Amino acid sequence: MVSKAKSEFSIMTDMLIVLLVLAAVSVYYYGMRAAIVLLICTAVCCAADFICLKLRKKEFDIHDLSSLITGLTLGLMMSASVPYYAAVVASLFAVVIAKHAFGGHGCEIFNAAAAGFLFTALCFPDNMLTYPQSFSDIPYSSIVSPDILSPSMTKSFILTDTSTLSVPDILAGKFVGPLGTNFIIILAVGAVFLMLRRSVSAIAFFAELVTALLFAFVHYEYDLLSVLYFFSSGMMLFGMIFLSCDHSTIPKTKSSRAVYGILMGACIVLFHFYARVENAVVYAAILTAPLGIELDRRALSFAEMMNKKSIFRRVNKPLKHMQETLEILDKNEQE
Amino acid sequence: MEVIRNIIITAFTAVFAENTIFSRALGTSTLVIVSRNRKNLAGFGMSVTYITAMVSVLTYFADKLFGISETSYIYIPLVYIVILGSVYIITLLCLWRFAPKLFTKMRKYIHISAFNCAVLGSMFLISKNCETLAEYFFHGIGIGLGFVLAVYLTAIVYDRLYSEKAPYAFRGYPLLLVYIGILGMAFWGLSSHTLNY
Amino acid sequence: MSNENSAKNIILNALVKKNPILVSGMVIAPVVVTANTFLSAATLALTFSVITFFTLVVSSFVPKRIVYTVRIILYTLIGALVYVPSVIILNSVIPGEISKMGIFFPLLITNSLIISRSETIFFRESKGQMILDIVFCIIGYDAAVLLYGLIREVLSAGTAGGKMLGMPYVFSALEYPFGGFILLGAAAALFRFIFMTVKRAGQK
Repeated sequence: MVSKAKSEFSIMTDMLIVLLVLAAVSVYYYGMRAAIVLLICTAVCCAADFICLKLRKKEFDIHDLSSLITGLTLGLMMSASVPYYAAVVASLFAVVIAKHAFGGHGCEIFNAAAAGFLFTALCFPDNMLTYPQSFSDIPYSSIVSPDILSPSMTKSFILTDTSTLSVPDILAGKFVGPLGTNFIIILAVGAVFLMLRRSVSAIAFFAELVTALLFAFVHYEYDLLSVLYFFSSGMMLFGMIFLSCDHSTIPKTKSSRAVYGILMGACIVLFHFYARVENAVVYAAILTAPLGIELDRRALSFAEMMNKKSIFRRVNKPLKHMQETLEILDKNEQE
Repeated sequence: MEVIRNIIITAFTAVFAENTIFSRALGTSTLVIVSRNRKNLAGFGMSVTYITAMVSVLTYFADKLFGISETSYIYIPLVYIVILGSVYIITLLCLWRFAPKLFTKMRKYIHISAFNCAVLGSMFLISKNCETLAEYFFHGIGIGLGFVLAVYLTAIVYDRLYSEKAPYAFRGYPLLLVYIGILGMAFWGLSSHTLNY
Repeated sequence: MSNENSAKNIILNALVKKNPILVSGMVIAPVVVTANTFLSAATLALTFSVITFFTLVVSSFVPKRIVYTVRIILYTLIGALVYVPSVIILNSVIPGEISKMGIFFPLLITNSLIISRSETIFFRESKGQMILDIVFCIIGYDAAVLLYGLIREVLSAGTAGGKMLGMPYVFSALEYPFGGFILLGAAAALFRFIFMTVKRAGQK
């Protein structure tokens, strides 16, 4: 049965709550520099959004928290030692190019944070993909000495398919990686919270989770520890919640979301095991984004076709879920 | 088994990792024209794949005949154009003679599916990267399918790119380029990052 | 008077309103892939100009009574024949730059100006207008490519024509094809914005 649509402001508020919790924990782990990076990303995203709206002669909506969410999501994907200019570039790309060039909030094709992060990571790979240890002294200067930095746990895991981390360390996020994507327990609790509040699509989330984990189980010959390493690496859980289940870009119907989730899981597998890139979920989010639009279109065509079939004309009322599907898609078309 | 595995990897690489549009930008002008209309997509896709497959086979024999020498770079494009033109003419004649309805349908886009950078570029790329006839053929099919995938990924968002909600300065062609660029970042992740031109 | 207007329109269309790279989306592939420095952009501009001009001028003499199917093959054959002396001469003058272009130099034989714009625009004009149109299309393309190559080199490598500029940081992703697409898209948007602003100012 299709659930009652939740207001967008309510969805964004829920996501903001989880992101703020992650931000607070990241500041605890990485100190004031983490706070500075998060502030820069958020401030630049909001300022760029405001300026773009003014230039486009659109009204600024105080209830539109999308730029805040983009800024926090982007900031939490960064390294604590990222140069400040890289954070600025990523934020500007996310808001100006990935969001406003396509028409602003609600018209994006790609998740803005994913696009901004990927562009900047490809521009400045040495700065974006090296990380300091947690609970270490990170200087406040824009450029941090590479002596205190090291590649992420993901990179070494991709190269060797093994890791020496203990399970408690993994669950607590005590390994080298981005600011806010390592805290597995907090992310898991956050995912459950968001799904219970219907702010994140449970269908899409579980479809991609199951697809990716099934392949990992087979690849690692049912070794649970290796699967846990896989699941904890490359911003996997964070990306599944905040990048692929972004309410602006995710398909609107249940069947589309299920297929989208499976495609997303398959792409994560492709990028992690075949291409061997760090942060496979970011690449996967970019690649599957346009397919979400097509899946909705196909769902509408299918629903219309089924409605026209003679077997259904004999039924006095159309099947409830198909009628509701058509209503959701009609509403989206009008918007 | 090893041969089949290599062939599958060759085709898969040509479709995804070294995608004609997103990784090599070949045939972008054709993509701009063709992505406007989703109805012709299947027919266009089949004709491009067919042509790349056919020319790849003939390219194999041409490479064997003429070989690679210090001066082959001068006359090889002429040889490839002759191959392309022959495939184009023979295809049209066969369709006109044996399948007139299909001929009428394909007439409007067969010239654009034959004479574009993607097809001619595929001949050069296959010549550089492949050795056996099977590799030539499946790489050719892979390139054709990769081009079709790129056209499909662009056609499905065409309405969004040309939507009135997009700012006027970006609407249409500029946004199409930005879209291809962002998607190209994802395809870059699939490639080996050392593509030869 | 009508000739001047027509010539003025032809030049304006070729350079600005239907600029091959920034408006019409023609011959984008070599720009995006190879024009990542000013020098390579200059090489592209030179090779494009030579191949396109001579191919189109010679192709304009192909009789129109020949069926279109055969005409298009003849245009590409002419392009391939023009390519032969071009590559020999240019390879002897700038061998390093020509080899950097890779497959994109021979691919200019099937560029969109030869394959499609020839039939839709050039060959429907009188010979004089056609030459003018072709020349200014090529100038429009070359100017856009050179500017684009320069900006791309500055942003991606921090150099201009090979000379260091002392940039604090560079966007190395812009030297790859996807970066080329994004930069070209932004350039096309900026061009359209400037054109519309000038047009509105002119109307006021």
